[in-house]
Amino acid sequence: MPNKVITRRGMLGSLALSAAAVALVACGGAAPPPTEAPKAAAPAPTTAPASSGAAAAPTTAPAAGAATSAPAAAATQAAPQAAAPAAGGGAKIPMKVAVWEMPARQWMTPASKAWAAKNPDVDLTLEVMVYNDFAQKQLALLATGTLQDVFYSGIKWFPTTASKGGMLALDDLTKTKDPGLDDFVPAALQGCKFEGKLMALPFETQPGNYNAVMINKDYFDSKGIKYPTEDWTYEQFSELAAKLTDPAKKIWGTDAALFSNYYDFTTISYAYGGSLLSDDAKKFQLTTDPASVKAAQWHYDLLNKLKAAPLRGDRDGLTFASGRVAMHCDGIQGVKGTAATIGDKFKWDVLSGPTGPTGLRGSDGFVSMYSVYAKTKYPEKSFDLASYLTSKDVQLDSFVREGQPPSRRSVWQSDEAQKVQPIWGRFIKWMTDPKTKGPFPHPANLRFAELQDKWSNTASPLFYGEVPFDQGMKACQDACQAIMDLPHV
Amino acid sequence: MATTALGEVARARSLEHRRGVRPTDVVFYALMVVLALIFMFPFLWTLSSSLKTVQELFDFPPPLLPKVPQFRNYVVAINTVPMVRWIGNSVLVVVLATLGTVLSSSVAAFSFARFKYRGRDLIFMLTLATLMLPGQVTLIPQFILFHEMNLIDTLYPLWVPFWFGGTAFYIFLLRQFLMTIPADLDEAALIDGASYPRVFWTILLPLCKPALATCAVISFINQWNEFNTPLVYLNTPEKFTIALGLSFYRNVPEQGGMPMQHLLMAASVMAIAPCLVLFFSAQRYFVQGIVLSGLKG
Repeated sequence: MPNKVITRRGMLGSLALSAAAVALVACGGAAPPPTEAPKAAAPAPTTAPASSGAAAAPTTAPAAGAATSAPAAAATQAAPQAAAPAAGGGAKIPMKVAVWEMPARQWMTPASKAWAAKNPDVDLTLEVMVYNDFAQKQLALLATGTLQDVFYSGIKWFPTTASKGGMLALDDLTKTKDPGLDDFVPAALQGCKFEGKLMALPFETQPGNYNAVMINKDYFDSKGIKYPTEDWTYEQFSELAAKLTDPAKKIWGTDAALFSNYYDFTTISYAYGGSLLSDDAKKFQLTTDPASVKAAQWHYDLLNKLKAAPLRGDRDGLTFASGRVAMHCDGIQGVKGTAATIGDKFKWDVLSGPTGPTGLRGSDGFVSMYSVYAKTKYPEKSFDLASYLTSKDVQLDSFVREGQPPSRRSVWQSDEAQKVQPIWGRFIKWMTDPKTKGPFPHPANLRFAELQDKWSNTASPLFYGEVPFDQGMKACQDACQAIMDLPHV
Repeated sequence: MATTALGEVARARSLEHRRGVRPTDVVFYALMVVLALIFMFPFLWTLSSSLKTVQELFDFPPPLLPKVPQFRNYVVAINTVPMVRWIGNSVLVVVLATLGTVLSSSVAAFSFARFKYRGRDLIFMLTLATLMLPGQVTLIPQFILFHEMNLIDTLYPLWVPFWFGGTAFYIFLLRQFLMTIPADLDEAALIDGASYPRVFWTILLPLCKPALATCAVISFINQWNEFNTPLVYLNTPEKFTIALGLSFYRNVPEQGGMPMQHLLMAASVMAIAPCLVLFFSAQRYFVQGIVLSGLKG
């Protein structure tokens, strides 16, 4: 029998074909178990805030993942049941839920698994959505009719998705099975409404990105200055910041930049008794609302007259943890993370942001929520999942493990929350105070992103003193009003 | 006379040899080292930051080096997410997309450069016009297309399109290069009995190696860094590419969370390692690429 000769070219060709076949298979691949997701980030020991050396500092927050949460435990125990065939041998209900990719919100994965475990008749697929860029993907999914049965959103994008008919109105479903609506922070629930209809259930709410003020107690002590109290005003904040600023040591009284986002600036407008947007959200009122003008003047003076906060060029690398800022403006959601960067460098505390001249506080009513897809085939099941993901137990777990600001009053007021930091109790009073002004300032034409872009481009030169105050105010007003005059998206 | 001239050259060489390093050389090399350090600084800073504790990252003045190198950051970064899998996915996508880009673009370029047919210039202009279309415009139609083919949450949408003409930029680049090669070579091969595919494959493609390498290098870098396409098409973390996967370590201020910057730095160093390997192994082509295209990739 003659030997079959394999040429070099033939062998290389065969190898290339084999490699191509393997590559093609790898690209599609058998889908891994749908509930698989990266493990929750295990904090490196170096990141945990030290409890020593900062006796007065509220560094007692439990480390992420320290406790096995109820939902996580349930998921672990009940997962095999979820994989088992549905009772009665019928086909499982195929459902999809969106979860975040961020380590900060890993609770969504175990909580979804726990719900799946309790509902063995459902084959639940978890789809990871990258938080920062989810709006783009959501649009593509909506266009193709493949949006998840239950998906998350944020107050900034929520009205756009709702206006495109992507969300199921939940009013009727809540009458059938109340998810505990009374327990939600009213402002959070309000943020979940579109054209008067409830389009989502909130799982998170907070009053703004700069409304928790962290103070460096060691630095205050070194200057012999008393710590501020909860009833302080914006004017007192400015005076204190000016006293604490030490140019020789390159230490700033504050890093306040509440003009970064127009909706954060709105909280000062609210506190001064006005509003950046008109009631019908069709007019931009930076120069026409006296309270907004006062708020702008206050912030301008803080940077340019009192020189108590850094200008644009001085902000690079400026962090509270570096010890170069006496009073750091943060969101309540950022306190835990900032505390981890401080470690045992200095003692610190946190208190509510200042009030306006009449004792008012503003809130931009930031909300994150879960919605049900308008075209879902399983509205009751989807609503049940959304209710579970926004339930008290799940929120308590996400709060304890990850410091997520809850949307339920009972969690804000819980013993667990007070043990972490009394600030949580003070914040809920702020958010539920009928005098607190809100809500999130969406323009009537829903051109939120464009408005924010214009604000960013024009507010920075204004507040950094790169243009005269009046000129900067007019430029900002005109640019933002031009966006608000555009047609509805 | 000739002897004298040769002697002069020999003497000059000898002098140069004996003179050794000239002061201007020292200045030149010193300048080069300084510039190299300046350009390398961002990467060195990333490397240094990847070995620091979170608290050190926020120290002021920022320390150049970590007190105690935290190699554990790399371990945590790998163990927290399926890092190796993501790098593998990226390699697979990048290789297939680059191969498709180079092959299909060169075929299209061959057509534009060598054949005369009705509407050729118009088609070429239309092809170039697609350069002005932002990716977002075609995103949803393309998504619908792949959805109809049931290929969402697979890696196919990330590389299959590149086997259908690549992109206009590469077609243009290769067409321009092909037009500099004399048509006499094609004609000689055709007279010898070669077919058009053979002329393309055996005669022209080998002569296009510098341009092909340029396309390959630029395509590799673009694909490696591509974020939007995997973001839209992939849902399962195990299928993510490294560019998308790094978002796991991003902190979003409005959402709080524990600081992850040290892990992000470690993951970033690992993510750019394959690009570094490619750069050092294909440095010559990178330089050619910059010269040919005027782009730095």
